[in-house]
Amino acid sequence: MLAAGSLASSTTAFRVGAGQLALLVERTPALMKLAVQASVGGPGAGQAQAEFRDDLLALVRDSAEASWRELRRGVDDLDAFSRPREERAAEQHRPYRVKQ
Amino acid sequence: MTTGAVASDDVIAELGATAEISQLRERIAEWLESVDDELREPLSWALAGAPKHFRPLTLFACHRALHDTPASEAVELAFAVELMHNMSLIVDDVLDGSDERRGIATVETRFGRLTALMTSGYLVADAFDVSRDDPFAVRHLAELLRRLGAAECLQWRLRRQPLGVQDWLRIAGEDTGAMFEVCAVLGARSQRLRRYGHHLGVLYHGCDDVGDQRGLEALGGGGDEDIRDGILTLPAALAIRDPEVRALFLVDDDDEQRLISLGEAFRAQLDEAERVLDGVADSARTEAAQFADDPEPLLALVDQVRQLSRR
Repeated sequence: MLAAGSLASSTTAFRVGAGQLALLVERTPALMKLAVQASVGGPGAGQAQAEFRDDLLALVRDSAEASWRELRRGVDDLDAFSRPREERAAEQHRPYRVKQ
Repeated sequence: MTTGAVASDDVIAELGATAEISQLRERIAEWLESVDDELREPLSWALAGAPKHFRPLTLFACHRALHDTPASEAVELAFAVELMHNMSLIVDDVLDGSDERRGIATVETRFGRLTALMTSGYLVADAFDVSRDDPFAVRHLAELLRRLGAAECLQWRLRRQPLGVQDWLRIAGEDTGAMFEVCAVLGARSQRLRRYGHHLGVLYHGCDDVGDQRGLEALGGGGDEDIRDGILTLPAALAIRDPEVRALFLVDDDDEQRLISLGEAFRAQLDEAERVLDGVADSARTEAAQFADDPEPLLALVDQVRQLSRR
């Protein structure tokens, strides 16, 4: 159980970390661009501010969603790894002879 | 706002749910024979027209995704969900002052407000009554009722406010998302597919928003009413990123030119809205792939719902 728990925990931690990293790598550049546009001002600043808010919230929401999904997956893995192996049932036999 | 669309018998057949939906229709017909004489006509009216059945389809698909037993065992649960759903439509129509639903007069228009409200109460009472021996179902139907009530207030409180797509996701998730979540939980008899149901509900809600703007009659309608009431639909959430559109959106009047301009601005965002919906559909597919023993029925359902904004 300890080994299964350690394996499931470390796998889950790795998946969560990798997922977060992938999200940040994918979204941060566009987010930074919007942040600059919104801060500099000018005609598109209002729209950039609104888009920045949406995209930042989307990043946080998706990050939470991905972490939550991986945690649930980890619980499923732990369940599968720690489930006792069922012994093969003995050959079926009648417990008693049916009366004629 | 509760949303809806007609699932044709072809769609039902493609999803392999013809037998279950037939059983559901028989169950509804049988129930209508047993209801109080005083309310039989409005109850029959509420369930008439071209019924939608995407909620029961979700319940059946989630049942199949995790259980070997026939989905017909879930018919009674689907029946309870249909009653609850039709209650929400009646209340929705009263709040919106809508004249038509599914191509016929609303219950309020046909029978008056008092009868409409009492009919909605009758539907809730019987949804719980048919589930009385199933505490799991009772608990989740109660959750649904609480969340729908709160979502309606949330949606109304947040109208005509400078919000965005993420706020729309929250509203859709608590409104249609809650309904599909509960369908997924009841069908699966566990929490395993709850998030799948959530994403599917948000997708359905968004497709309905986009369909309204495309003027698709197959969907529930209400696009003009939503613009008039300042409801945050998905195209609206995208369009009001533009400060000029936002300024128009925040005004509370019936000026025709303003409403026309808003409609045009919303329609200009339909491609972007489709991209957002693609993302929501992908989230639903990911949940199905990771948490269902047999994801096929769930993936097929996502594909069908995704097409609703274009059908």
